[in-house]
Amino acid sequence: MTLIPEIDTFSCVAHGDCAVVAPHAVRVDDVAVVVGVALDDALIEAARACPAGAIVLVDSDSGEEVDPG
Amino acid sequence: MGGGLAAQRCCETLRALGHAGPITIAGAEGSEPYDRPPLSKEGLAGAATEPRFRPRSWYAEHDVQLRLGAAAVRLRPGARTVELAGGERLRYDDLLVATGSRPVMLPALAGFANVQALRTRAQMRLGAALESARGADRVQELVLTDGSRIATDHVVVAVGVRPATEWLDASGLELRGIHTALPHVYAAGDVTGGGHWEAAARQGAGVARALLGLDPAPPAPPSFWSDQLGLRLQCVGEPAGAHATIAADAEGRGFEAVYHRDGRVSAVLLADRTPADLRAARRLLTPEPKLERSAA
Repeated sequence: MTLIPEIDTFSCVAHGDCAVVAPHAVRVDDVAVVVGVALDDALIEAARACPAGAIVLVDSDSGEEVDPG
Repeated sequence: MGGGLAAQRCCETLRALGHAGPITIAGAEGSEPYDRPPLSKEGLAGAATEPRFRPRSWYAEHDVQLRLGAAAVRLRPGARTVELAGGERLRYDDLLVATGSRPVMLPALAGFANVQALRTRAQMRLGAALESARGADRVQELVLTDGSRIATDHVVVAVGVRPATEWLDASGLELRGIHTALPHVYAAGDVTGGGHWEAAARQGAGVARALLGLDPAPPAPPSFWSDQLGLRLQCVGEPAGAHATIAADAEGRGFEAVYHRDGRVSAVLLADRTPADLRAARRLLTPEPKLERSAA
């Protein structure tokens, strides 16, 4: 499975935890921005770390949202 | 004025949106703007954390002047200046009031060496207020109004905050939102009574957009989160005064509380829930959020 991160820009408050966990995939300006790729495990950890729940992970094969748990 | 989250977010948003003019962050504290929530969580637990939002080099790279240890004592809106302790006057084109708040200290505990204030609330004992504290330079015993006594080595006071706006008293300025009655003066963060991290962040960015003449971002429901003893709490909406329906996990510490007022959902409080659950809660309170797929 390969995950694609999307940012719910309405929810994002740029706390920045995602960029700490997955710095190659996410940069934080006034909101988070996807800037690269990362391993699925790192993206899942970034989504879990976001206190605003603003990172949506999508399975690139199925197009379905994946719950990071 | 003020060197916390609201000021930092305003500054970063201004630069992100292309503002090239001079920016100065002036605050009473002696360090770069830092994130306060971890100080009462990971910090107290002894974990090594970097509380600063940005390293010192970031401010030079983004042409932001830092005036640390610069406490404001008076606003002079007619002259568009802020008077600092020591007499220096800073002139501004536009001013953001973001001087935050100070923890409330109980009078009976003021002056003791082993008393520490936190900017969170805690209940020591239901139905019993503090009557007095006994000790020399350190508190050794607390006496409560129910007559009970508590021996103590250290006291943590967590009874809320008051806006740190004494320096505005002479101006008569009231701070209720990002716009004020004075031209070229804005406000953000705890000084507006927001009280939560997300409110300060959104207000700081909102002031930046206002300064640049941009439309405000879509309104978002109030929200906050907190990590307590390994449990993540997340709240969206206004729970105060609403009726709650609580669904708790059969095992573990998780639960979901949905608050209703006047037949509508007014807030959702989640404990140990997933990001998808939080987004679902937010959708209960707001129109469908805009999703932006960022190119990798």
